Amino acid sequence: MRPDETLIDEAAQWMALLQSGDVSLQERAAFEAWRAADPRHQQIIEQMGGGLSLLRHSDLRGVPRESLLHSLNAPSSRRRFISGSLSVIGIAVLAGLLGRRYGWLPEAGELSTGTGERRAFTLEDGSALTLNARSRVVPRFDSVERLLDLRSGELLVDVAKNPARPFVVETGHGRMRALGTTFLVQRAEDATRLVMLHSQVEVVTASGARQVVEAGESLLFNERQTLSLERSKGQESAWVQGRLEVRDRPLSEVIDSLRNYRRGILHLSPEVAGLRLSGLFPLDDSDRTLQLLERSLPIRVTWHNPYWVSVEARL
Amino acid sequence: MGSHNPHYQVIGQMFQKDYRWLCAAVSRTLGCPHSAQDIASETFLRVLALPDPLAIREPRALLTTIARRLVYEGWRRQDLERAYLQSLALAPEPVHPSPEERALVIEALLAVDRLLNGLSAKAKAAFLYHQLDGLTYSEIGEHLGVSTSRVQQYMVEAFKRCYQAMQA
Repeated sequence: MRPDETLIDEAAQWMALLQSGDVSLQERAAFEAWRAADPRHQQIIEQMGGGLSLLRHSDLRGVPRESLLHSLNAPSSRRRFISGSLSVIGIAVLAGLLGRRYGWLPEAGELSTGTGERRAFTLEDGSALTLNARSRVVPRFDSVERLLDLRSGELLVDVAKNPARPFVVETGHGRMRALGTTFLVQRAEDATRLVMLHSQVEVVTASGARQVVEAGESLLFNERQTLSLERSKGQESAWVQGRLEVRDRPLSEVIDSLRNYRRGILHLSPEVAGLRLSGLFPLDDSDRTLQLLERSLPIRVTWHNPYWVSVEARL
Repeated sequence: MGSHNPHYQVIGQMFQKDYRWLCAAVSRTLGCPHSAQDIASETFLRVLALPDPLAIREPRALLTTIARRLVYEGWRRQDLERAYLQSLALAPEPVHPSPEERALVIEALLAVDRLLNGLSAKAKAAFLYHQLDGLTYSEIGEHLGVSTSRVQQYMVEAFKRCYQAMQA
């Protein structure tokens, strides 16, 4: 279904407002409500934003602005040729095709999962990779090393032994280097967590801090330093089996995990975010998990619609 | 992917049936059989990259569309390149980008041109000042000699245009 002009116009108005850098909390809340009101809204916003990533990685930054604008405003000598000859299907197909070349669609070789999706891959060296929901990784294997660039989300990798060619997982926060082992990497906005299941890995943060992590240990680090090294609780990889296992963790962490398995907005009220809980929950049925949480904690789950659920204190 | 891949079979059959036809069609447009062969080959490469070639119902319509787009892209690339080189020549400070830098800039120009094609010069400027340089709407307004709310309107137009360009 093709979203109509009104929706596109509304979305563009919102984008222009959000990008103005001058947005009140009320406006932001109104935008969230608009976005949650219809799945098409979210879809349009995402596609609209696709062009921005193109500019973010653009080679045009170093070009003098006058030169850039002069070039873009150059008249088209043969524009008449094309007008009217492009069928609708043609434009649709080509936007997809050309998109790949300019990098606003997935990079070549990128492995990724969507909301609520887990996938297992066998890499070309025989290593077994599992991606959690909403994760993106780009493998870059060469003769020197086997590199996985984890762009977002979480992975578990069982590395095929090859002492001659180290296996490296990289996030913006640092590099984890192994020879043959099993480990889990979770990339969040501000830090990366490494959980060692077998053997050991050497971590070098982006700033050069080093730390060896042994089997059964879990290290949290950011680009500057290692933040904490602790005994792993052993349940970090439960997601591979579709379960969420927590022991004495805050509700906010559980909700964060569920967000990767749900479309739409899952709002958590700050007054209940710190409630601690333990338990075993099904990831693939997040509705049920929310019901289970509601039964075991002093919270109320309100279903405004399937795309907008809020979790608040029970009165 | 081996030759048993059904996608390759479908496109292989399409290639055998339609390659010469496409070369002739493109050649009529360009008046140059050599570039026509390049365009036709590139067209088939693009078809190979399609996510689901089995779904193609009108192969010749698709081939024509892609080929025309490639021809157009080539022409537009020349326009942009000419304008870019001209602007460098006119620049107060002489700039001499390497051939690699030049090629990258022209590809990027082509991509941005596709994204913003059809917008007014001021709307393009507003959008790029904001996205590339991080200027605020009021700073852009001063620069372009228009009000802040007019800048916001330019941004609305630009986002609509982006959506159309991204529509796949």
